[in-house]
Amino acid sequence: MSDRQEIIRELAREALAEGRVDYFLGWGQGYDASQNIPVFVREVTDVDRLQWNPLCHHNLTVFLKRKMPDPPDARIGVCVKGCDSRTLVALLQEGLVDRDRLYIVGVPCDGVVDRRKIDREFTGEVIGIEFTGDKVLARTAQGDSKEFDRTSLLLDQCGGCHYPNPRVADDIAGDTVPEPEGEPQWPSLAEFEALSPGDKAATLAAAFSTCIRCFACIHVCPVCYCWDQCVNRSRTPALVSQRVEKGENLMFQLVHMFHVAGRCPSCGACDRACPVEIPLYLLHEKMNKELYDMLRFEAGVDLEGKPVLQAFSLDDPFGEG
Amino acid sequence: MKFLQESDLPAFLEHLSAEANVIAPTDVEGLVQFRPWTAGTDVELDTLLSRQSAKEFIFPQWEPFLKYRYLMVCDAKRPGTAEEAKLELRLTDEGEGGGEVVAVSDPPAHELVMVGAEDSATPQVIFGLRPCDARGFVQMDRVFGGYGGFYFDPYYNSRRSLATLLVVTCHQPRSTCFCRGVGGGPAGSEGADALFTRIPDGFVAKALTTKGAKALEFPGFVDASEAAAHAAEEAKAAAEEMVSVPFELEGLREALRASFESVDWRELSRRCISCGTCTYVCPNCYCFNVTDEAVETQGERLRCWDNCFNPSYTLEASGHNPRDVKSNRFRNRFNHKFWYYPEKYDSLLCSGCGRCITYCPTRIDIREVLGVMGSGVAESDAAPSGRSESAAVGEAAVGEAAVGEAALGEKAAGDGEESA
Repeated sequence: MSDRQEIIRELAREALAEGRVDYFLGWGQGYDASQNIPVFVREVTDVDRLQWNPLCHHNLTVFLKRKMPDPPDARIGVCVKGCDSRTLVALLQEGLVDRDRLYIVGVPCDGVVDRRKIDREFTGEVIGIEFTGDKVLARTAQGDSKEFDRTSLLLDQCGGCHYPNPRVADDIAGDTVPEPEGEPQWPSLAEFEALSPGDKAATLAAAFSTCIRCFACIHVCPVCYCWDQCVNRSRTPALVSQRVEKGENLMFQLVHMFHVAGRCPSCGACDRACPVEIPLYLLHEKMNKELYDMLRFEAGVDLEGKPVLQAFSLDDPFGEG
Repeated sequence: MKFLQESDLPAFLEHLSAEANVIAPTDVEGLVQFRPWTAGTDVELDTLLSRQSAKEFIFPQWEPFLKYRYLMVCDAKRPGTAEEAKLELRLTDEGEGGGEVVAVSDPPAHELVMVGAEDSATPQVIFGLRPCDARGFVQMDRVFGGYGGFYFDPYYNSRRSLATLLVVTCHQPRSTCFCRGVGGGPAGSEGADALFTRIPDGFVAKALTTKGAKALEFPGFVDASEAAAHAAEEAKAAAEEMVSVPFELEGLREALRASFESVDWRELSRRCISCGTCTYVCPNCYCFNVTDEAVETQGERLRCWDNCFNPSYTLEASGHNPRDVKSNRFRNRFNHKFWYYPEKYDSLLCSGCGRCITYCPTRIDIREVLGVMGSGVAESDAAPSGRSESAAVGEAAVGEAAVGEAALGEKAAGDGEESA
């Protein structure tokens, strides 16, 4: 892991020193050693702020979507994990990002640790997380500490990840990791899919009753870029009510799910940004499973491809099937 | 000073619920939020802060102001309806500027039902707020309560006046707490009707208002022993010790004024995704929007929370948006809390709970942003004065960590951030 970190820093240093990028976008430490944040490096002397460890969950391609690059014509160096690279591919497929202004550093990924799983193991405030090999040591402000196996803390979606290596990159930070063979699996959906229709509805209603409509989920989503034109906020037409209640909240999220279908690789950025921990990722995972089952489609895996809802083929199945 | 056994807490809340809705922090599958309390529900006080403050119980996320219904519908496809409605256009009496054309209908074409402020006002007792949460209500009172005589919000005040705030002092402040930095403290009593302090076997409680005294009439309260009172004071002092003061308040307002354009807000806001999480978890933020929502022939006028990071927050009907870029919206949040509001109400619009830090998807740290302001930022030569708020801020060639240092490098300004 630290090897990859060194490579990221070196690649960033070179790109900045040679003037190939205006700034380099990577991951770094937040306000304490348990927090990870997106870091914008503009100076060669700052590259040591860049980090790579299993807390680097941010999908940095959100800062490439429409109206985010600042200035709009900035030349940007950006780090992408496998799932992040798929949202970047989706943006490139739609011609929404200028490939020529990007320097992409692909980071093969062994899985990202779910910070909330660690929080749940303690009553105090977790302020430090360290990684040694496959072990994770977490400690709290109150002096408690516990060691975990890294694999036991991974995000649920990492379990079904089919593309841990970047799908598009100019340089790769270290060796690629083995990719699982065979058909994609959707382990995180098993529980939900086993429910009766009534129980599914009840599960969704309960999950969405806590939504506070802060819109973190859509703002943090790289392939959701309508900003002030978002239908979830629009008054004309007023398709989604501003009444914050479970039915309307679910409606809002279903709109998001359908609008990003075909471009969303279920990276889970929405889920991790949600301040009330709604398992949003499952909605998108479900859509992706449907798309795969019906059309053998996977979002953002092929630069030459198209988002499925923007392509029409006479071979598309109609109706059931 | 009174004392309540920990085991008597449910009975106390039960007692209160005879005359009021009781609201308390509860743990629902790991998520602690203020929720209506019913007998048998555990009150979660081990978690220092609920995800949101109890703001929504006084200032709900949405509420109707009025409801309307059209009684007559003119529909070309339904013969007779236009005649039924007897709609006419008439010219009113000619005045100096000429008459006015109005639509007159007989019988009335629509029905309007105002939702009275008293309709949603029921007595509430909110138990388990932290001092920062209670202070949030005090800041909102100034806005909604007619301070200075501008505006009195009957909806807010009808609920506020019937609410009793029973505050529990903080036991183990989080690293992100900075109440002391903004003039409060983990045992602060501003806004509280009674202050409870947890000691090993119960609560030491002190009534601060008549509403608080009434709540403490519950027979389970006994006079606190000297030892209990002493333990409470020690607990408060220990908590006080744990909260840091991360930035200098003195001169902050002036520093913000000075740094309106000289500080590189674009750099500070780089990792902001322009969502509204910080404002919706904030106990102080009070911005709202009013919108009409109609389904076929009936509808409602709703007030709902809004936030200054919303790209359409300042969007005008003309299409012009005075805060059209993220960095301008970002700057507004800090300026509003520590400059504009203080200028008007002589108080800060922040009580230091730190929720905006903890729940920000990219962990933007208000302490760091204000620390930059407080670090004696010199006016940069690069920053022209007197530009409109939407003008691009001069971009300084510095990394985030170095922003705000007096000797900012210069880079050509005007590589405008695209509006969003």
